[in-house]
Amino acid sequence: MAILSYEGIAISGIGACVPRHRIVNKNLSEPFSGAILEKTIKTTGIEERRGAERNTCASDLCCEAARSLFNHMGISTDTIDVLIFVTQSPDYRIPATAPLIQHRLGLKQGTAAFDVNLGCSGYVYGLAMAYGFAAQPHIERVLLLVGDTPSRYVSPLDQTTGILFGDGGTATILEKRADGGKAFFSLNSDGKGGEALQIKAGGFRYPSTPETMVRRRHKDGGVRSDEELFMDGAAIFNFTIKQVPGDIKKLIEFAQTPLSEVDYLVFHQANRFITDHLSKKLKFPLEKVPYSLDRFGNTTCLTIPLTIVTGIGKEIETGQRKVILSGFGIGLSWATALLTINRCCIPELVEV
Amino acid sequence: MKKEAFIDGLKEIMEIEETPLTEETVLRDLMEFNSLALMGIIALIDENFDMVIEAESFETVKTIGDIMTLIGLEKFE
Repeated sequence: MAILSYEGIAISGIGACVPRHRIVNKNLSEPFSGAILEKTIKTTGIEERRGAERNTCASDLCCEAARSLFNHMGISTDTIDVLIFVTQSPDYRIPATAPLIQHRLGLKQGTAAFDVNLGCSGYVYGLAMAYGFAAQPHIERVLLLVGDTPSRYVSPLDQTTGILFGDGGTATILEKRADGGKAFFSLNSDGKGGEALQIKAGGFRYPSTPETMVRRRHKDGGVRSDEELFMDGAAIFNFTIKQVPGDIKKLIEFAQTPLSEVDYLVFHQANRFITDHLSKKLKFPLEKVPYSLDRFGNTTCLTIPLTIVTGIGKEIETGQRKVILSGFGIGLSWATALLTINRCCIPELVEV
Repeated sequence: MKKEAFIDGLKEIMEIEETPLTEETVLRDLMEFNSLALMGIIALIDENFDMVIEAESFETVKTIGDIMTLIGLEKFE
């Protein structure tokens, strides 16, 4: 558990963009059907998701979110000194996508830009890094882009994963501000569980071959190729309920902030059953836990900013709110943030 | 915890109303034993016993009694 703390940094804007195309779960065909489909929708809480077109990348969705945010905040792109791109769907295997985005968004030459490969915990990790850069005396603003297109790497014939995931892109801007308040982060990993959520092929350990492209029926009943996501749902659930409540408790203890002072607890939108269980375990009131998974599904690294924008956007635009952000999953990796969001610009959700 | 209360909890997860369940009841006869069902059982145990049982421990589980053995029979009345 790595603990970080900052003071006087503000999240001054968050924007989000999703593809227009809706995938409605109750209309799915084989291998999803009947009572099991109904029960899965009820348990996960995921009614529909968005799917990007074949030629739309996560970076494109993030750029749309960023442009809208620049417009609404009325800031010049010249004020961005650092660009962090968190994704599991880079444009190319190499080079990193962040430098390409620097050019595409018209950020100034010389902007520090790099990619981070993280999923469910990615927004909190990204924020922790962004706070670190923003705290530097010669950095004016940091742009954190978090986007993913899981529809491109999940098999629609895998009944474990085929119903859960949606695409999207988000942009978050950070800067120094006297009313930024204190922020605390806890970042963690446990690679022992790395195989519980994995795309096995396509890297250098297990390169792509014609074989890896072939979809097969696996032991768990799912039909997928080695180029597509495998998920051991029960193992992930297990890990989550074991690690997440404790991490949240440790961080609020470190920050000397009782849970009763927290206005919102924003969970990674894995599935409703998991997050309801976590809220119950923490004895945190369910009405202070916003959701977006009913409309957008599990959008991996961007579930947290998407939930903030669509769930509590109005509240943080006008007032001051203390929030806990909790991301957990692939890696395995989990992270918690406790921070105050105040006068944060939230443009309307962009749909492309 | 009372054995009956635990079995009632399982019935709720599996959405079974009529069928009487006992320790000898074989789980796979009742439901498709998929990862969602397993999640439900793990959650039920966590809520009532504050213990998280590894998912792979369930590989050998056949009956409701087997689950109780995993939890520890001494924890039941």
